[in-house]
Amino acid sequence: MKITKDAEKLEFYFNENITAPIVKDLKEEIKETLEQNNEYNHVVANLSEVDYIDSTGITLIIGIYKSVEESGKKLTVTGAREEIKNLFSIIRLDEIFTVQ
Amino acid sequence: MREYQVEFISDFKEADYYSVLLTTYIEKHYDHITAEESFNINFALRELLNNAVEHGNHNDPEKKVRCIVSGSENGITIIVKDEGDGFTIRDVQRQQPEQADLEIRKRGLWLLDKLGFTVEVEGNNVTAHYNWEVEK
Repeated sequence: MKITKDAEKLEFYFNENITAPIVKDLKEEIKETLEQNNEYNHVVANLSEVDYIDSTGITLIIGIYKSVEESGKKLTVTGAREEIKNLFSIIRLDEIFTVQ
Repeated sequence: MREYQVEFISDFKEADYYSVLLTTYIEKHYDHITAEESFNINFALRELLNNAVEHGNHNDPEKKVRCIVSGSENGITIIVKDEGDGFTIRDVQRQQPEQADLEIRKRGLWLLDKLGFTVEVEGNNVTAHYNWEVEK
């Protein structure tokens, strides 16, 4: 996962599948990053290189949303393949954060 | 009818590996499969295999997970067996969420239903069947 920051935006760029074997490590890294950075107003989860996701991965994205929302900030999911967007739509996650 | 069978130790990395292997096998044998179907089958395999590892075998590496995939001109059937007692969480997993679901891991089987799978649970044996969108 690559992490980039600018004045307003914090981006998590997932460059591998978000699935059970790596979710625990990703969760730790994301938690530390969010705790150490308060300046941003907007968090982006970029899924452009994600071929597969499982329910642990979806839970990870939900965890990012919860952390960001508690801070009064905004989450956008970008670059997701159509099939992942479909999953998010079934679960109605696209009603609580933006999925592009 | 084609059949493919794998058995592996209770580990998420193994479940990951075999979910991709089995998806590739299915894609190879059914050239009419759409990208959406392939993705959804992979998602179902991951859900069932991860469930068997975590909730069935409690991540015990001494316990094995077995998966049998068989296909026909109508669709595919995935059977996953673990060495657990048969878990009640699978009943919880069928419940439909009232609103946007923030605890999706508790709704895995409900989600598979939504993706077009017919899922039956009998003890430590889960069977998921999917009919092709386009019959060939």
